[in-house]
Amino acid sequence: MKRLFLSSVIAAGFALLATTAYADQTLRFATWDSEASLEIQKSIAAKFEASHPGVKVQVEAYGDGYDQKISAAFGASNPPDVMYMWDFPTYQASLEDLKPYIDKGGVDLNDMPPALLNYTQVLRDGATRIVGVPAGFTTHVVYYNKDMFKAAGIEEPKDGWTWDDLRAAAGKLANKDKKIYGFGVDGNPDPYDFQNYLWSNGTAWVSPDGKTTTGYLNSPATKAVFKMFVDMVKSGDAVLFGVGDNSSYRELFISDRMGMVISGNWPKPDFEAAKKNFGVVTLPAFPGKPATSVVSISALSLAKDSKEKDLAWEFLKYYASPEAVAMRTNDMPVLMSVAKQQGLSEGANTAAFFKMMPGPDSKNVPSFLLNPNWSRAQEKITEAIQRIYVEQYNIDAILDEAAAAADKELAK
Amino acid sequence: MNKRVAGHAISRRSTPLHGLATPYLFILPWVVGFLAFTFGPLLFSLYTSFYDWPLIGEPKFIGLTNYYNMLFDDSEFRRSFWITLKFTALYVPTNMIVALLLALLLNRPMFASGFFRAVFYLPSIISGVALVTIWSWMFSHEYGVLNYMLSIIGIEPVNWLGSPKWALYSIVIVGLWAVGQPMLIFLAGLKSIQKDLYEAASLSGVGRIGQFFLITLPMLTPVLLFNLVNTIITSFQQLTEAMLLTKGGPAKATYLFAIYIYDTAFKHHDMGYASALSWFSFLLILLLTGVIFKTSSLWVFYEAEMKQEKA
Repeated sequence: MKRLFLSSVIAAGFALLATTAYADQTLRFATWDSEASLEIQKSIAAKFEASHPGVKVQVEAYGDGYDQKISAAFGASNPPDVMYMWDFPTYQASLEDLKPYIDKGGVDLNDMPPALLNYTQVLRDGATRIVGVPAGFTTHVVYYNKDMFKAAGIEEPKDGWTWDDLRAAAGKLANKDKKIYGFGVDGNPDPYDFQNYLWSNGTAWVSPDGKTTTGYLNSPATKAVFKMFVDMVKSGDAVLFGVGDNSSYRELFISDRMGMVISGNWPKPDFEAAKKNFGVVTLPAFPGKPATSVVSISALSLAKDSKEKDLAWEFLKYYASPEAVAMRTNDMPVLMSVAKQQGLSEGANTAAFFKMMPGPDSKNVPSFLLNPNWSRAQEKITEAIQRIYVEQYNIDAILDEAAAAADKELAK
Repeated sequence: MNKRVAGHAISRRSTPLHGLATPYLFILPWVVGFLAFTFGPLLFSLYTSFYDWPLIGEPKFIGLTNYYNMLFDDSEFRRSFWITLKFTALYVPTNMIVALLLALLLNRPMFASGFFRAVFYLPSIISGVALVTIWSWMFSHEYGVLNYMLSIIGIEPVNWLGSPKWALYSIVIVGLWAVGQPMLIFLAGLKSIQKDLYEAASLSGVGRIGQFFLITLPMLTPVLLFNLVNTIITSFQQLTEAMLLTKGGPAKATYLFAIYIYDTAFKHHDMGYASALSWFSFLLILLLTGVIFKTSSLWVFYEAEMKQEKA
């Protein structure tokens, strides 16, 4: 009976589709995925094609050069209809406002963590526009090598731990003679990701109004964060990676030469493929302050210039459906219902990602959303961070200088 | 006599107009390609350089503001330009000397000289990306072959790409690996020097070193001029190696002018400003080339000229 009901619904659906004119339409869908995760995108596209006869979804995989290619496509007024998006301030003027579409129903925003939605909404001319539907996210966590902890005879880290705990553990895991380190410090971090530590220590790169970095980028709290990391590197407890050399933190972790490292969900498939015995725990806290993570979010957006907007919205709707969200095993599910169903929000190596998700009342706003000139100011910060880790002294002066230089860029 | 016959043969087969057009038809594909993909974009970039031209949004005419900001209000411009000058000062002489030395070696009659010629030219045909990948392994601080060799002779490992002090030198070294092109041109120049000059010099009792400075070098000056101009242009446009090896770092130590142009255009989406920077670079290279050509009459000797003087 149930089956009969279902099949009649499906038949009705097909009948409906048949009346909608989808004959020989091509939808361009651009993604930065490659390899295994690209295959997932292609299978989602194939499923959409199957339920929309006559539609061809052209998956355009731009890979590493995504930002350049997408900006060139917009510049040439030939953007893909649907595309992966993260840099909303830059592109928002060229993206379709999805609010009217969402109001008509079909995408369950209530099933998504509210923190994700903050990123895809931009305020323009006094009205809030929704310029993307969240497609994936990651928060940042600590990965630790369980075997190394066992060998050193120390307890594994637990949620709610502090930076002092992390440093103590790193000291016990490290073995200078054997070039084994307790922790890995990223010598060339994305300033976006580095906000983890600034927010956790009660500061930020830039003032809440986005106008000045002085007093933020060079605040005592920021300086303390850098001093802590430099101390860990100098003492030999931590290894500096990402500067000049090509030894990646993934290699260091997999080859048991680095006990702990902070990252998003990106290296997890590699660690699993290498059959590492590893754990995942929330970020450590500074004394008396909550540990806070940035959310690295990706969303699907619709180009304003698209000639297939209705079809593109159909695709977006399908992409945000539980079925398609569940297929994207390469990413954290954006639907809480799917996360629960797959046991991820409680899973041993996945729960921490959900615990690090900021609540709806979070006051921390990523700096790139606060000032249109941020990308130039950020250059100054990137340079300062590299200098700090290369020179390993003069931290205060370097940050003061960087704040002055960054403020100049913000004022332009 | 022969010429007349040939000319007659052509005119019999084609109309005069056809005959005139033929050479242009042959170069047409190149001309079309040049106009569409080089000269057209070149002119367009001059046009955009007078605009505030964001990739997204409406371009706005701002006259010479881009050029003014570049020259008077851009510390990044000054720094990246300075780094490029430093790079050029290191890269051009070393490149020329190494290419010339290799050409001199290969010019001597020796065993398997053809093989060695191919070997030294080989790096020039490897794609930039593959070359950079190879070098990033060789430069590796902990596991690189360069530091391994240094350790054998008791020298502390050098942080080739990770220290601002060494990174620019490392990129010069990578550049040297592709000396095949100038080397080959030098070699061709060496081959075309007449043997009797050396014979005459030997008979007059001029030694090998004297022969090099009195015959080889002067006779090579036209080739030297060509290589010099080419190498300077390459050096000012250097992008691939620095971009892939160091991304302009660490701490902007290898942030060459070309990387700054690239970042301005594709990271900050400021096409107008990037065009102005490109035009600055273009005019500077043009000026330098002009100066070298103008002064070349002082140090370049053409065989034909010398013969005329003698006559």
